[in-house]
Amino acid sequence: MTALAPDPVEEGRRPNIPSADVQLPAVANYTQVTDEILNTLKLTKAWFAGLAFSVFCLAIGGTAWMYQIYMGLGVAGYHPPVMWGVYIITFVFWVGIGHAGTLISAILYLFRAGFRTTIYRCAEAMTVFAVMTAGLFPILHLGRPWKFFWLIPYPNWRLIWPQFKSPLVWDVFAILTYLTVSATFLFIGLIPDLAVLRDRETNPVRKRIYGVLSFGWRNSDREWRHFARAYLFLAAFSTPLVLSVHSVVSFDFAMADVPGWHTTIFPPYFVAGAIFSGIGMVFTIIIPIRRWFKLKHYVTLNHLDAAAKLCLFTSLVVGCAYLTEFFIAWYSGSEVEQSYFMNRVFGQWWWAAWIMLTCNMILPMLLFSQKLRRNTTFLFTLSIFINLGMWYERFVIIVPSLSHEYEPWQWAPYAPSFVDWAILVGSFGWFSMWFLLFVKQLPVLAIAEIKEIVPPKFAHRVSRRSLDGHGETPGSVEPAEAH
Amino acid sequence: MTRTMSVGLGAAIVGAILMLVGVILEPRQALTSYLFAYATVLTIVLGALILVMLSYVSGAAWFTAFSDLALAIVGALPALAVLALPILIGVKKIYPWATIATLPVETRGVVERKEAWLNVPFFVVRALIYLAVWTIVGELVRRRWFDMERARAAESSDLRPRASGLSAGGLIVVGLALTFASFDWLMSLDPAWYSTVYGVYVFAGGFLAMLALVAVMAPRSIGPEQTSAIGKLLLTFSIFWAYIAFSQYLIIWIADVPSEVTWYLSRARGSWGVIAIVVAIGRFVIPFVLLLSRARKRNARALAAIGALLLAMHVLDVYWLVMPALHPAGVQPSWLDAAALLAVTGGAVAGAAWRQGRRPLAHVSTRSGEVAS
Repeated sequence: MTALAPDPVEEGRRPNIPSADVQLPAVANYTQVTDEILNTLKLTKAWFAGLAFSVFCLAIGGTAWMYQIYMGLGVAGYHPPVMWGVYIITFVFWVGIGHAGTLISAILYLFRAGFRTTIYRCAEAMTVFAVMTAGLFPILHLGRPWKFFWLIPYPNWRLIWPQFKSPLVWDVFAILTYLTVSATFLFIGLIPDLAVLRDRETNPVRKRIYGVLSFGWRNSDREWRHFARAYLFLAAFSTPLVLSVHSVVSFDFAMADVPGWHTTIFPPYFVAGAIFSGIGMVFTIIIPIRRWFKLKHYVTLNHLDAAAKLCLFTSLVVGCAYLTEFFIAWYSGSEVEQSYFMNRVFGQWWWAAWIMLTCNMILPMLLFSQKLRRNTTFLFTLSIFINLGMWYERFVIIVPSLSHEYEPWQWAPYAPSFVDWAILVGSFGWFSMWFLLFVKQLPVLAIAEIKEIVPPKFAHRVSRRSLDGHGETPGSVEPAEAH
Repeated sequence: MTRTMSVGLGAAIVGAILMLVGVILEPRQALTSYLFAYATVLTIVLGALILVMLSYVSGAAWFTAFSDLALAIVGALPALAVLALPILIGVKKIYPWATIATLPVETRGVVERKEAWLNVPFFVVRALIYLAVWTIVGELVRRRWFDMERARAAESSDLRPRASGLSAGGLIVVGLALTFASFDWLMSLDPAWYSTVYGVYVFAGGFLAMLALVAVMAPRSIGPEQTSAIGKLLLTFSIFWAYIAFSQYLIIWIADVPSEVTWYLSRARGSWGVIAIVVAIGRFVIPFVLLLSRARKRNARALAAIGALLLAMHVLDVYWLVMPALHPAGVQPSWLDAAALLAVTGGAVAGAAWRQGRRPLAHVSTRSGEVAS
């Protein structure tokens, strides 16, 4: 068996090994991959309509924001004690969605889960834009948004530093780190594809831009080696970030002595919920894309099936966390906790709690059926419910807690105003605007990696590794044994 | 009877005799020590069961080389179900909530309010349910594996889809039973205290210790590729354990609520505090630094050494979870701790070895060519 031991250097840049269920039987060769994926970049009327609608939504949100700056935060429905509402809910919602990208691109890469190949570019772009959207909300929530930079610690003439013990400051670091790393990761993965774009481009200006962005990629052995190294390193580097970012977000709540917030399960529970919501959003995005861009034979049902299993798994984790929370609230023997949780399920916002439980825990159980996992209409519908359910999960965490603290005189109602809803709509507009701009500028599927899962019997027997001079096709282990 | 089995049986008998003496001399210490030993071993075995099911669900190919080993560990479950008896019999000695009158006045009120959950008959019924769930799922998973082996030998159709369905369902019930058992058996040692993440903490520790055990026992014929898979998992779960342990500590420390912080007060001061630091270093800092090296992750011998360290830390960690309930002032090592470990480990090893019979622990590794290395 010692003969099996590959050269350690060669091993380090080994790509994911595609198994049979990951491969793309309907794709004949590499040219087809390049042509079909680059075809998606052609501008269409529907795309312009979508972009216009996104910008319109964004304008609604922007107008509402201006109105809020002029009138004050009171127009957004914030009255003591409920000082956190739709803005923080939506902030957590978008940060959560940002988690699936790194999970799919980094963790699944490390675990060699081949089904990520066709969806990871989409998920990564989604991550970057979701974090960009989330980052707006703490600023929206400021009474004087032009002073947001006070959150950043730097030596200043005011001689004032932020409160380092506050998780809100940790958030600034966590989110900015995450944005930096995920954007870098997205960009590194794009380099070989940018080179493809450059080679196909006829417009000299655009060709030049693509050339610079691809760092003059020439497809050489050495470049692939460095590329794979960098990719592996970034994957390992961003994996702990998946845990850390949403844990820090959960600390915003768990550190405060508020019933329903201060509970030790919050960090892993938030992370699981974030991944769950992120996968939900991936379905919401990738299913229309594969239909409209005619990429059904790339994003195959096998890939969606595997992603749906992951979705089911995270849903179960989240469901167990809900049950644990409820159980411990009862078990604690603390009247405050018990009364809070009763209020959560049967109080003013009982419907929100039931939306949360139905969408996040009960409906995803349907994914136990393989038939449904392979039904894209079902997956898309379910993903909408998951998005809704995860938004309401954060609603259930934030609003009932603040409005139902320790003493009855602290209890107060809360109602989101039209400003909140307008800004929520605006955030979707902002997100989809970026995403739509992205899909027509850069390939939404990773061209270079997809070539690795083209079935070898049709493809040229050239792969990333054979370019390195090791003459192996992905998936074939036998030649190594023969050495 | 194999040699492993006779050694295990010998240890179990010696431990059991010592425990009997202990129960007569200092019953409370003896039974609490037994709970510590039992929790140490049980969490490892359940970790193995969860690993097997996870790998079925995810279809992880690297696991094939370790599946016989992990399934052999799972084979200890029926023995462990029997070994739970002393805890069930000794509930009143071990758990303060079973005798409310002996509790300090401050906590008595809270514990009385928990009586619907924390009472002896219900505790025993729940314990039997947990044990039944683990044993049945463990046996089904084992049987399914042997069926698959036979099918593969006969080159008939693959049974993996059925195994993954069983495992998906199994993961839920085993995970829930583990969570609730850790609440019941460990967390309720401090009846007024509660932490929602406690079950995850216990799982993370047990799973890490199980991986460490696999690293220690891994057959030498396994190639560096499979070894490095275990190395990566050790690193991942060492970080995961530290993450759960740290966030639980941070959340409780920073809020500083009297009812919660008492648990850490007895565990972070004096000699218990020393143990806490030793565990943090030995279970996270040292393995983390060592396992960053790629070459070390591929070196079976180095991994076995790190695994041994992690196993020792698991024992210490469970000790730190359980024993401050009995000796809040400081560490009081007792010969019964060692005797209990001897009895439970011996019993579990004997049970697993008996189930294993003469099947080798690693015959699959000879086929590791088919593993996606």
